Order: sequence, then structure tokens, then C-alpha cells
Amino acid sequence: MAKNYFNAEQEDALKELINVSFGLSASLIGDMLDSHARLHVPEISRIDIQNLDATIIETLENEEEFYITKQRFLGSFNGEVLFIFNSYSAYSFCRLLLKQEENIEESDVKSSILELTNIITSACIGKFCEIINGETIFKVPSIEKREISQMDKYEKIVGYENVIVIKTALDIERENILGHMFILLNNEMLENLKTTIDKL
Amino acid sequence: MINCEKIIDSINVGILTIDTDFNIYYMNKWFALHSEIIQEKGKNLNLCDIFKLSPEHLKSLSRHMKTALTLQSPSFYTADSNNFVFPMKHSLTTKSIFEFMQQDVTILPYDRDKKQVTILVYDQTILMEEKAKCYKESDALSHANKIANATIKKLESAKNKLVKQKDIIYKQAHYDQLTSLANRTLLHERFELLIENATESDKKFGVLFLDLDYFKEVNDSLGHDVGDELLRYIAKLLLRETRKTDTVARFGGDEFVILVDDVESEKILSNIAQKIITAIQEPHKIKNFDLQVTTSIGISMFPKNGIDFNGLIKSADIALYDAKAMGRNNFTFFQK
Repeated sequence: MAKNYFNAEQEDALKELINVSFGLSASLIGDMLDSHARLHVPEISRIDIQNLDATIIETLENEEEFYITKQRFLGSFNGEVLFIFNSYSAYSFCRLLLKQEENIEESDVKSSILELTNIITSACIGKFCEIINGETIFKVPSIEKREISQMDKYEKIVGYENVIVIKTALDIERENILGHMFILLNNEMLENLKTTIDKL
Repeated sequence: MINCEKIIDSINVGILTIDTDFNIYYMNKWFALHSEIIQEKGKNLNLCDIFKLSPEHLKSLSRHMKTALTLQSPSFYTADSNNFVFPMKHSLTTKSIFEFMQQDVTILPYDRDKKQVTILVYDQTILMEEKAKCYKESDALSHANKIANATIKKLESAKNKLVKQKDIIYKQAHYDQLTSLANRTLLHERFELLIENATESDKKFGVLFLDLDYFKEVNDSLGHDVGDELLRYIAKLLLRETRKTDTVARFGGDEFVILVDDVESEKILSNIAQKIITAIQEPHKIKNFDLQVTTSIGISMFPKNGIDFNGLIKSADIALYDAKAMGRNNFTFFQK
């Protein structure tokens, strides 16, 4: 599977693409929060699908509970986007969005995170689609709160071989909200993306 | 020519086109029916004329519309996290836990210049009702599981207590309280077992019956507490001077019985008796008193001197009497 790894040039181009789409997302997120928001990509990597759970556990470090959003996109460019947020980041974002410190309900946290990830996913996948001249439609996303200790009990995602892992840092006011975006693609989609990037 | 409007009016999805000021430009039949307004009239209304929407609600809707228009991509609300966007009565005819229809809502960009979006509303009430039931059942199961675990814990604790109590009762019934040696009951049980085994395998065993010489004087002159301490000391000494397989029992007062298993000859019993006599006559410090006591031992053997408990004890007791008569601090075998 080594052929599926990005070379240095491809990784730079991918980072650039993601940064452009994140710029657009940040402006919308800033409007949402009536505050300046900066979205940046400290790290980008690719893993095999079988390492997905292990990578999720690793990214969460010592956190026991986390939020996972899932959204499929279908068409000539298709795949699935997952977002992982630890509880602290999820609550911080919700507090900023609702502008309230207390009485935050679970449904508030979930809808806030869905709104955030919807923006980033649309911007990012939209950008990928644009460069490969593809078309895609988005399915309704879902969000769940999960526990690390129960990881082996959750249903596994099938149908993809590759995962692009994008560590996503959102700086708003004094908060640093960390999330991880996982773009799940099959070999054909990944090769398609890489070929297009090479032509840029 | 396909009549799209007819199709749109017949599908089970609410469709609404509004601008960012919430002015309505189009609604399909589904949306009009569930909003309880006449479809034609709906086109000239504002969303706020139909629904009571809080400022926070409208703000959120504006944000979603802006996201859709800016990114030219759909924006979503899910029933899971939002319950509903439009407070419409659900159409269930059974009792529901929800007051309003649970909705998945997709906001699609329609006309960026006119800031118009198309909103699709999917009724998810039945699905959410089922989900709520599943959660409730799952909670009930988890609660039952917790209760079962707590009950198991209690039962285990009660079982442990019972085992401990059984041990205590067994000890009280089979061991001497003062010296912790076997009591008469246990001695009797061991005797029976030895007789059975020895009979089957044609083996011999010995019975040493001993008491302390002039023990009554120790009790009378130094007190019962000293006498008791001396008995405890003798008990430990007897255990030390015998094998683990032998049974050392307190028979009563200052009398002790030792069962010595698998004895080839009288010589073995003589050696044990002599060891005990020598050890006991050593000076001992009991409660700050330097005591020197002696013992006399009567010995009987199975099957030569008896074939049951009473017979063997009686023979050893007679031998003990002979040892006393011969001047104490010695041992004798039972003579017919």
C-alpha cells in the first residue's frame, strides 16, 4: 500500500488546498461566533483504514469520552468524512456559539459540533470536488458521543481503504479547539485525487 | 412533459423556499398541510407569520442559510441533535413522547444573488420514537444489570459470611478453646478413621495418654491463669515433639491424648514418649514463674490392646495409672 502515501510535493499541495478551504470555513465560523476565528492545519497524514480506531484513540490521548460526526458524500468524488472532538473542545465550542457558560445541554453540544463540521466538510470536500471537476452530494450527517473503553463494540466502517487524517486547530478568542478530520476514500478516489494534485 | 410540481406536491418531504429575511417564495403541499395553512396563501407569508420562532432559533436558521449560500453546499439540522426546526404537530395517531414532529432538515442554496434557499424537511418522528424506546430499554437493561450485579455481590458477601461462620462453628465443635488442640469429638473422629484405615491395611497405631504430675498443686498454689498458661505451653510443646500427621488432643483437665499413626514397633512409641518426658521436665517460664513439671504417659496399641476408641483409651489409661504407681515422670505400655 506504500504507493498510496503522499510524496512531499503532493502533501504540500494538499495542505495548500485544505488551507484555502479552511480559510473560507474560518470566515463563516467567525461570523457564527461574532469573533475572529483562525483555522489551521498543523498536521496531515495518511493511514490505512484498519488503523482508524487506533489513530482515534491516539489522537484523544487520555480523554475517555469523545464526539464523532460522520457524513457521506456521493458522486464522482465520493467517500466519507469523520470528525473527532474531545469533550473539552466540543463544550468549549458550544459555549462560544451559544454565548453561555452554564446550562449547556447535550443536544446543544451536538448541534453546535454538527454545524461546525458541516461548514468544514462542505468547504473542504467542495474544494476537492472543484479541482477534480467532480460532483458530489452530501448525505445527512450524524453525531454520537462515544467512549474509548467501548471502542471494540462500535460498528466498523467498511468500503474504504485509505484515511487522510487532518489535525484541525481552531483558534477562537483565547480558546484553542482541537479536532481531527478523517477523510475516508477508496483506492480509486485517492489515486484520482493524487493524479489531480500532481497536475496542479 | 413531466409535471414536476405535481411530483413535488405528492412526495413525503416538506419543501420550502425562503430568503434570508424568512420571506416565503414557495412551499409544497406537505409543508402547507403540516403548517396548517393553505398552500397558495403560504407563498406570500413570512416564516414568522406561521411559526413562533425564538430569536435564537432564527439566528441559527440564518447561520445555516448563510453557510449554504456561501459554500453553495447543503447545511443540515438533524432530529438527533435538534429535534425540530419548524414546530409542526406530528401526525402520529398513537401516544407519542414528542409534542412536535422530529425533523431532519437540509438547507440547499437556491439563488445566491437573491439570497434564497430551499429547505427540505423530513419527518423522523417514528424513527426518533423507536430510538427513544431503544434507549429506554437499554437504560432499563443497564439498570437491571446493575441491580443483578449488586445482588450477586450481596449474595457472595453473605456466602463468605456463612463460610466463615461454618468454620467458626466447626472449630468450636472440634477444637479445644484453651489450647486450640483437637477436642474429644475430633479425637473420636480421627480414631474412627485410623481404625478403619489400619484395619484395611493391616497396620498398627499407638495411643499415648498423658497427664501432668501434680498439676492440681500448680493450679491451687499459683492460680488457674498460671495453670491455663501452662496447659497452652504444653500443648505447643506436644505439637512440636510430634509429627504433623499425628493427632494431639486435649482429653480433659491436664490430660492429653496423642494418636501416632503407622507404627512398626513399640520402640517408635517409646522414643516419642521419652522425647516428650524430657522436653516437659525442662524448666519453663510461665507468667514470670520458673516452673518445672513432669508428665506420666500410658501407651496402648491397635489392635493388640483394643480395637475401638473406648478399649484403646481405657488400656492407655490403665498404663498411665501404672506409670504413676511406678513413681511418675516415666511411661509404660499397657500390660494384659
